[in-house]
Amino acid sequence: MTIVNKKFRNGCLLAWMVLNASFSVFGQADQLSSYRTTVTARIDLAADQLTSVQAEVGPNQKVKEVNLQLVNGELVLQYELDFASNEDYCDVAIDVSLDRRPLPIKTYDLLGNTGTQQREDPAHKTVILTHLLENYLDLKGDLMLTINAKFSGTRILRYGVTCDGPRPAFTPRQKLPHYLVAGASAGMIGVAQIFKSSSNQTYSEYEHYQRDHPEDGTREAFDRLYQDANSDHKIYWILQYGGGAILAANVTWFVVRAVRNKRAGKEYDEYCAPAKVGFQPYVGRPESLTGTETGFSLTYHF
Amino acid sequence: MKPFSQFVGIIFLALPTLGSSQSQCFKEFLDLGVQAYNREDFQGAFANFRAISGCDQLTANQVRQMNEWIDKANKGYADFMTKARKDAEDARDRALNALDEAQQARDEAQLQASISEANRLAFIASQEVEKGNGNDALVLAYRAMDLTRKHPTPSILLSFGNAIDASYGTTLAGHDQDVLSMNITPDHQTIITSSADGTVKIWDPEGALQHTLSGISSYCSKVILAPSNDRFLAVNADRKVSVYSLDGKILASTPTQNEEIAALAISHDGSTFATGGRDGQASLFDWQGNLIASLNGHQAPVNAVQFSPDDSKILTVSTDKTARMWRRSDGTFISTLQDPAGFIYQAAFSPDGNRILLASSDHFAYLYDGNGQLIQKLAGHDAPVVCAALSINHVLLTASLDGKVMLWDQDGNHKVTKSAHEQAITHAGFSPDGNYWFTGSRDHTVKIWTVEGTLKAILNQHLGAINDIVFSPDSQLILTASADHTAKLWDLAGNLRMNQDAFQGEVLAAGFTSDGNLLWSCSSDGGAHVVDNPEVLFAKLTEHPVLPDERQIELYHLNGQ
Repeated sequence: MTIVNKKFRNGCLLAWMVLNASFSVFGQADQLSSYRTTVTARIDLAADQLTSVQAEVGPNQKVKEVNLQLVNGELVLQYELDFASNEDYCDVAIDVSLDRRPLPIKTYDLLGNTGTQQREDPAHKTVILTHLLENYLDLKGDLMLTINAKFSGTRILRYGVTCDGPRPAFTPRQKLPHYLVAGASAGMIGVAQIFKSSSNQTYSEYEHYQRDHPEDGTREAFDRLYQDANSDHKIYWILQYGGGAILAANVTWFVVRAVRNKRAGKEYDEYCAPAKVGFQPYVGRPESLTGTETGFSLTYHF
Repeated sequence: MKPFSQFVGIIFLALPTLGSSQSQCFKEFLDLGVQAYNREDFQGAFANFRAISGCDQLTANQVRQMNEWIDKANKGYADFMTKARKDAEDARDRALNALDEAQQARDEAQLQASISEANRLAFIASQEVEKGNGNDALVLAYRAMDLTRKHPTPSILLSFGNAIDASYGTTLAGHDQDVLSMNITPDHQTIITSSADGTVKIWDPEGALQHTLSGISSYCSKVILAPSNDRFLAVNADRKVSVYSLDGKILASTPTQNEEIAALAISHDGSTFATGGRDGQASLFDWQGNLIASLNGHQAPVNAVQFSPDDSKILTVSTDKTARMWRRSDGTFISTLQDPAGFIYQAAFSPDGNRILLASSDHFAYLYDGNGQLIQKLAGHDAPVVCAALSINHVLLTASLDGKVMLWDQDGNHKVTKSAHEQAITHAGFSPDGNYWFTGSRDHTVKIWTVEGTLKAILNQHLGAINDIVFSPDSQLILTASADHTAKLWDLAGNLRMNQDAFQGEVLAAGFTSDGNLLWSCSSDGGAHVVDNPEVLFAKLTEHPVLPDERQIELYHLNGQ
């Protein structure tokens, strides 16, 4: 017996939303940034007065040179768009409010540069809000115009993923050299311990004979022992620290490569990979059933 | 016979007494007569008094007494008869009155029964409208109207109107954005709508789409039907005006204008049309699209163009705060209508063309003669004057944003001031017959006034801003369009006659056909609606006293279909 419960229905709905969302992502260029710039003023339309015009333009704003005028009973809004090198176009929408209440403006009452503005168009833009006298008769109060600018274009991918290729991953084949180097460096450190032990032993002999039995040998023999101990110690040092350095460099490189691959994979997932819809059966007791009732539910997980 | 027999009896009774005592004879008859008189038996008294004359040897005094009593008996009898007749007449009158009252009570009872039954039918009709059974609703609502023909209640009137809307209403669905204008040919066979989606659509009376014309200006999507009713004008997106046939073919086009076309008007004789542009230039064209004259002079967009009623002049209104008068024949500039210091909200010719009235944001209205010479600066408003209207009865109306309405005579003499609304007035105008005027306000109400300034009705069932108000051609109905997604039809008593509430967006405009038989409305949801005038349709239905089948009511459609 199969009971298709809420989870199933919600799952289907979510799948539909995910699929639609993913399709819409692929259907348009990337939106790279968005900005809201406001210009406020005090208006008395019937008296043909617009005063206290103030534009709020921040230091990082890409909507610049904002100005608002009342000309022949029409509001004339001027602005400029500062496109980055990879931005191709900008969608501009104007919202108007009077005394903090939204003022509905019909699209056919807006003339000029609203909607999609191409990069190659002249930077200086003008929007005219027409038919104010017919539609509103007496706009009077605190006016606020908001320019909503959404810049779109080609996204510069930091990790250089290409959607034509496979999803970037830190494969075992790529990891193998790191493992080999790690093994080699570990081996070097291990061999260093042998040389260290040998050096210590030879040096102990050298001290023993020189302190306790100076009569047993010549000066040359003592020096030879000392040199052997010194030589082993040098080898130990080279192997120990060389291996350690190689191991540390190898680990660091490994981590860097792993992080880069992980981020590249995330970038790939974000901009290249299609939405994945997986189905996983879930057998359990539906939430809707209470008491001693039992049943099965089929739940899809995403 | 009775008085005579009494008289004879008394004579026989008196005979035995003859010779006994003459004075006793007199006394007995006199006593009997007086007793009868006192009993108001005037006939018996008369007989006894007359019997005295049979007594012998009557003295002169006795004869005089006898005659006096006979006169008194006669008079008493006459008075008695007069009183009896009057009593009888009074009784008759009372009976008649009682009869009248009974009949009135019966009529009242019948009327109440009819109203009760009609209300029941109207209620069921309303339910059928809700269920979408328009035909059943119409049958029930018509019966309710028929039952209460002289005394329809508001609910019955409304149910009939709504039933007509449900049964005969035609919805035109197809535009993607606001429907901004609508024209219906006088024969009701062609409907033309224009929309902000950049198209004009042509429909048949059943609402079937016939043609779609694309590339229409959304900035000025006004479509105007020519007086000849065989073609119409529309402004194209490429800043041209084109002449279209009713089957959607372009017959002619004007040259492309420098900037958007903001205003369009056709002369009353139908021979020319004029445009106003955002570049401040107005132009006059013939129907082949040839430029007749350029009307240059405005410094800002020309937002209104009007022909005078006799077509001899053209009035252009601009946002440069001036209006200019031009001669139509050759486009010669006549004059600038002087003085307004503010924006001109409205400019109107009087029906006879002898007056021009401007409403200005400088708190004044300006009255000019037909040649543009200032007659009077109309002062008295304390806020921008936004409405100006002139009636066929030479009454002028001005309305301002402070809710005040002022009436003037045609020479600018003040007649009446009314504080019509507490909030700003947005619409005002006269009925076609000039007997009424209306005001619409931001308080969402519409008021109807007599031309003398007496409030006649308050139409206060809208819940949103009033977008349009229009009188029917016979001045008996008023149609309102509102941002509350409804259009409502009212009568002059303030009764709601139809409530069109099927729209999903603001109702932007509404109107009647020139014959008043149809009413239309168009909405921001991309839809438009056409329906029969319930007043006209009820009259049409009652012209057919015998309905073979109530279901055939629907056959009596005004279009004869």
